[in-house]
Amino acid sequence: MNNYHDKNRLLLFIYRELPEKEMQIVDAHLTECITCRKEFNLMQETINLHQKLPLETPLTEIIPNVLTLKQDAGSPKTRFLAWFEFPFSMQPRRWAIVSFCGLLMAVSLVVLFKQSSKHPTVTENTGSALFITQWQPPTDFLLISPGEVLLKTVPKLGESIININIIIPDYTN
Amino acid sequence: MVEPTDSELLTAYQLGDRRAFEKLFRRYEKPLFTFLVRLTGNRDDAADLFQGTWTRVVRNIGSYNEQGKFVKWLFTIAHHLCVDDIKKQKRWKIHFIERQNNIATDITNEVIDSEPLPDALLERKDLNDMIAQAVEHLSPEQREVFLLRQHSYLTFREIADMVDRPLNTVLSQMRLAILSIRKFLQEKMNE
Repeated sequence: MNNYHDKNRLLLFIYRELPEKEMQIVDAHLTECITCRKEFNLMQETINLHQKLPLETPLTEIIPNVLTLKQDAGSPKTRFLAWFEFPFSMQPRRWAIVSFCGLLMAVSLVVLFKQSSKHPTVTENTGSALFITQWQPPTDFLLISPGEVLLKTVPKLGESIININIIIPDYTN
Repeated sequence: MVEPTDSELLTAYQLGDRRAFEKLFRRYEKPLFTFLVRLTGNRDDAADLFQGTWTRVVRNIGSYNEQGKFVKWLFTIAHHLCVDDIKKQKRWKIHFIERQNNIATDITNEVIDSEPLPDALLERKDLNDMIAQAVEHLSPEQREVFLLRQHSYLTFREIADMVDRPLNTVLSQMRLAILSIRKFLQEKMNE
């Protein structure tokens, strides 16, 4: 201990929270320094007075409530719910994880939604008999004409129609 | 007969021994309740927080894996619930009693009577009430540190960790709390 008059260190001495060697140093110092000894006595006396105060007893109706809690301790549902009930200020890491997962889910949903609302790409394959044109709103009707096999549907509420043109390869050439 | 340790009682309870939980509860019910009453200044609030603390202990006992002392865990839960509750109800400002001479801030500049308290004061029947009042007159931070050290069996380092302040700050607040209590008692004596 460099500063023998460190009053904060006296508190650690009173509560015996110093290493043994430092306890001996402080003890030796107190036998020599009147100022520090007075401070020590003053603090010790006040602490002892407070420690003599009688302890408070919980209200009798609380005790059975607490003792019956143990019956729910093992329930998986209770434990699951308790995970979210833990005081926020106590588990900031837990809440950071939950928030991050929530954010990740929200971003995933947005990306999926955007993917699904894209127009189907138009691909053309000269060898295939089918290509899909762009998505059309429900009010469109498909025409049937000779030589073409088309899908005819009656638009229903909320349903969209994809125009499907089936190309029949020209075998005459 | 040697009393079982907290670890032994916890392990027994986790294995299904309900009497172990009751023993653990009885061991800390009064210190915990006393801490809550003196911190909040209100028995009803303390009762709610007391029940809330034990509810969380029971619900999380399955995941408690003895990273520290059980009593530290218990008082940490209680302390955080208390802080959350007080912030929610904004009671710090209401409960901290304003004093005209502002003992808490001026105490370091005053010459405190370093003589022992007179016997006449120590023999007063209302001494306990005066000490309790003196604690109520502390600033919230000083009262928090003082009561944690007096009731929770935690070291100053553990308290500093819990309240998220440097160790020296916590020690200074404790020392100021003690001096404030002393000054309060001396003023009461002189009335």
